[in-house]
Amino acid sequence: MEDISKYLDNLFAQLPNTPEARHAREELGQMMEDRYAELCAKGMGEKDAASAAIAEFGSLEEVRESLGLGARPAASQPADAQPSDAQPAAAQPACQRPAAASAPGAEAVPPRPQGTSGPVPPHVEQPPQPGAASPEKHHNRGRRALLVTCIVVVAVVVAAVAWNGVSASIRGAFGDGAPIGQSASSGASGKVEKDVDASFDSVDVDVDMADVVVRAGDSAHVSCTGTKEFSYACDVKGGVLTVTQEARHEHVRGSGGKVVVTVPRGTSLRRVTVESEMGDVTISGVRATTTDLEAEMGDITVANCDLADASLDLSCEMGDVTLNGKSMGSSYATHGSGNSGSRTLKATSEMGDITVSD
Amino acid sequence: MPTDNLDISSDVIRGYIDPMILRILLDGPSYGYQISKRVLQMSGGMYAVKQTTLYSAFARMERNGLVQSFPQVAQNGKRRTYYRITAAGMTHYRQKCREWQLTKDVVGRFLEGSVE
Repeated sequence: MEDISKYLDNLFAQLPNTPEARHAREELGQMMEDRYAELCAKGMGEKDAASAAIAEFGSLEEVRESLGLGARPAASQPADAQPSDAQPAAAQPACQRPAAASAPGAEAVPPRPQGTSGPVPPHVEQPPQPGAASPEKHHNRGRRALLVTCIVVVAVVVAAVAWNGVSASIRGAFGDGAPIGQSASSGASGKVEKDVDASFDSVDVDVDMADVVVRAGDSAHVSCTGTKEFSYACDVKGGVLTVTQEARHEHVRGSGGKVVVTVPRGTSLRRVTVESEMGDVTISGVRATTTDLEAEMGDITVANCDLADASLDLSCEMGDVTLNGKSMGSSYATHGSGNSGSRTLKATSEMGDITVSD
Repeated sequence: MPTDNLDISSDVIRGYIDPMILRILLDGPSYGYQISKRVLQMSGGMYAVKQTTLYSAFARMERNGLVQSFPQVAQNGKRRTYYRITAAGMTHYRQKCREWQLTKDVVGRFLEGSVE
């Protein structure tokens, strides 16, 4: 498996680090890993399975064309560049790594693999052949100088883009109030365990891949656990307790983590907002004027939230809505019966079910 | 005689990889590796499509609105990009079917029934 991602890393180091290129790498990685997993399941050794998957890769040229990069001049492009470990580090622009490493908190956001290695043209590795002086050689030397110039320009652009990405992430993590739980130094697990100041009246959780639970308990507390792939930031500001998750690198694999927000029992919140792209959302025993829940690919469960007078707006694109044990089809809405009718619960799930009980 | 792969005239077959994928997607949304297995299976084991060929076809067809991608978690819990055929994709597929009939007919007049 490692062989496959090394192979792809090396190949894609030759391409500009664009969203399209990252997408292509991810898709191709998916296919190769599926192939690898199937061959392994059939009893093939890991090395052989990786080699077989790599043999079916095809040609990077096809990918270049589909990314709108056009084919490279044939002279400088071996049909299928073979991966070489020494290759990326050798031609790395000198300014790039030290700059990233000296930035505060840079370790929290490892620079992307493509960013560190920079585009490495295969021809840089080919030493000029001595003693083969010919008019053609001079011609080649001129072309080589031109290519090297182009490569340096591309490398600088890639470095600048990568650096902007890193500094944006740093701003994101440190700019808005101090992140608690020291996401930068919270170790390999990306874990946060934190008692928080109960001076908030709203909760806002926004994560990509994690199950989220908001529940009532003895005191205000936030617990974020999960794989080393993520770091969390959590902050109370302007009466809002905010929890966000950030992937430490592109190509995050595996399941996400779990975020548990405990709200002091008996408090009535102004607003609870939870958004999880992949993961279940569970709200239990928390009373709020406005509750807004969104799960793209998970289930939403609301229980013990005193919904007697609340307006409900529950909708699933592909799942089912269940209210107090009764199936309601794919969506359900009702106006609150309370005197003001102003409490609302809105839940939207694209691919999961919504279950609400009083 | 079936071989593992067609290296002869892979240009011709690559010219038809889009409608081949569209045909597979007519049976329902699917993802990269599943589609590549289906290509091998439907070709009677004669054509193993390269991963980059498949990916560039997906990218091209999505750009042209013939397919639409969406993320989904497969049975084994892995997150995958699925592709589904669009209305434009169906029209394109039917067009390519007619084109193929014509091509086969015309080229066949020259190449079929000749010396083995």
